[in-house]
Amino acid sequence: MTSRRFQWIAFAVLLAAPPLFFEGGFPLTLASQTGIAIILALSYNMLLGQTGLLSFGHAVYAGLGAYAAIHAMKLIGAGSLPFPVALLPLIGAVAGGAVAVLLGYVSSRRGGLTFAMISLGIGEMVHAAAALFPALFGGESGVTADRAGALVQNVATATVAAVSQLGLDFSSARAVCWLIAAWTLASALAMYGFTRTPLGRLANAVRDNPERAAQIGVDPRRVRWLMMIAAGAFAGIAGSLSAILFEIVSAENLGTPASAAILIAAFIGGTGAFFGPVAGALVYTLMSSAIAAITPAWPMYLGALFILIVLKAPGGLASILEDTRLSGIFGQLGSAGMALTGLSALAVLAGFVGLVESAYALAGSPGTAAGWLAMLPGGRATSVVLSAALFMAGREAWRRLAARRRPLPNAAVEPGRAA
Amino acid sequence: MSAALAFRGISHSFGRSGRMREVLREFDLAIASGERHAVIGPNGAGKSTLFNIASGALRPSAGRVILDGADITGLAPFEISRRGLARSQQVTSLFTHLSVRDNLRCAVLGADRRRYAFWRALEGLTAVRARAEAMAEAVGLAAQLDRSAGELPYAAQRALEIGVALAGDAKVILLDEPTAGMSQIESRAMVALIRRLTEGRTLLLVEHDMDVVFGLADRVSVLAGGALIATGTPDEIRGSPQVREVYPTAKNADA
Repeated sequence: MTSRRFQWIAFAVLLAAPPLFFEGGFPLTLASQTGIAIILALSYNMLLGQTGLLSFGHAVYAGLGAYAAIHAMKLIGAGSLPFPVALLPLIGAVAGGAVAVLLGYVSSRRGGLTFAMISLGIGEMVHAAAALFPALFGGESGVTADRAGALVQNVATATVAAVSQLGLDFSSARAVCWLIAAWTLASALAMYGFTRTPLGRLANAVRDNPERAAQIGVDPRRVRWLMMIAAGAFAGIAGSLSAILFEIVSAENLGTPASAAILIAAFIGGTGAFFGPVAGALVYTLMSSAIAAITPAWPMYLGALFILIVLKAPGGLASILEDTRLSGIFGQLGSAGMALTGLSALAVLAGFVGLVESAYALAGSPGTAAGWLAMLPGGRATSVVLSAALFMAGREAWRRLAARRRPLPNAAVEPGRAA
Repeated sequence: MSAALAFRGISHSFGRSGRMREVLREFDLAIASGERHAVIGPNGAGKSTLFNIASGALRPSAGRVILDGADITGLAPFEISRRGLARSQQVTSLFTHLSVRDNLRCAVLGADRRRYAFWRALEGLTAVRARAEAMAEAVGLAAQLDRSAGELPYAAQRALEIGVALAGDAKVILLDEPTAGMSQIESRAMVALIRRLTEGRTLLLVEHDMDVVFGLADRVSVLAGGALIATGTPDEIRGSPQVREVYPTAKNADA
């Protein structure tokens, strides 16, 4: 109970810190993007974690919500729509939810593989359809709008005028970051509340056993549909915030790669815990912006991390943090063993990074990280050999330590019949 | 006469045309309100198919299913459930990641108008919670309310299976081999539990264990090769030579 409260306070502090301490620049962009990714990943988890629906088309709802918001922002800027920019996410939510009403009707009949395939097909269709209507979707270049221009119109309204008397610039990166932080916190709280409603619990029942859910009077299709609408609405909020932040929306926002990014973020964080996707969104944005600033190889690292999570910790980062056995396992090693385990993991990581960066350098697209490697005496040849050696040595050390780390056979109750 | 549950001329075949296998043939049975009725028969006699037809998992090739005077043939399983027919599964079928409390709470919610509510807190529905906990108490799981269903030992899972079937307060209960895989002692406890919890309700039971059948049922039907070959009181069925011929274990339960 208190630990849950602590998590929420920590979450709120984390959201508020960047706009509180930074004036602008990279930290605020990063924080803003992270907030949007958090809403996306949490809304995605309403489907995957809570209802058991593996969607490959979640970006459709975020993207169409973003389009609705950017068109509204243009109208506001032109003076033909008196609507506060800060509440644009409401328009996105309505748009995302409405699209989900339509598409959910088509795809909610079945879960499992059928749902996954249909969501992929829908994603491709919507992406293709966007190219057919350049007036609405802006063709190749997308739709742009001017946040500042829209805000100038808003200033005419009394409340905004009053606040702007205080000297706040509503179009600044800082103000946008505050706006996104507020919407992120509100959305996360709303989605958390959603998990504690009758519908939220029945979604879990449908996830675990749709046939049985039907036998107790629950229509699995209706539950999936309602959950899709809710998830679509929250995705629309995230999309609108990205429209406000970047002042541009293009068909890219609707595509399968965008959907895959949401899936990867949510899964890395962990779909079994409410805050899992938050961690995943944080890691994802860090990689796609901070790591991406150093090396063009960041998708390689993201992919490797994703595979590692799928194989070794299907519950995601959240399950690693929550795993109480972890301390028990490491406890057998003592502090020296723990340090060695950490070192061997670092060696594997460093070796892997070295190899990837060397490969990128050899292929002719070196990033900053590859530049550091090139400073080694002997250049690329040294970096390849050194990296390979580090990787192998680390792996061997990890393996030997793992053999000693293995927990004692415990008297866990076998699933199924107990004596 | 108003039967709680009636099958009228039910026939069902599996497979495609040309290679049809008839599983049920012209099956007629009426179960009176408040009656405990058992269906026995050798493997492949069509017992499970009968249950699947009654609960809406299968649509019969021919015939009608009447629940409390209303035709329910071809309705979706969730619609049939809302009309007051609940069932348990032969293979334990629970919401494995949910707690015992939430398994039962979902079963209560399934029969509640507020089932799809997303504007109110689940914890706020105190009557739903109380019903779920009372059912946990009744099936002997009061101490395990917070354990997840997947972690329970087998007998406890079977008890929860029955609890989930009964929590919605259905008038007609279908139990598919409720004592499957249980020891003698567990089985006897389960029979007592079922007898207590189905008091005043209509029960249709499929069971292999003759002790269970003869200890629980008011009437017994024997199904063989997709057809009903006999219906009667446990004593009549035990004495029927026709039944012994197709279902020799029936006489083993004389003791």
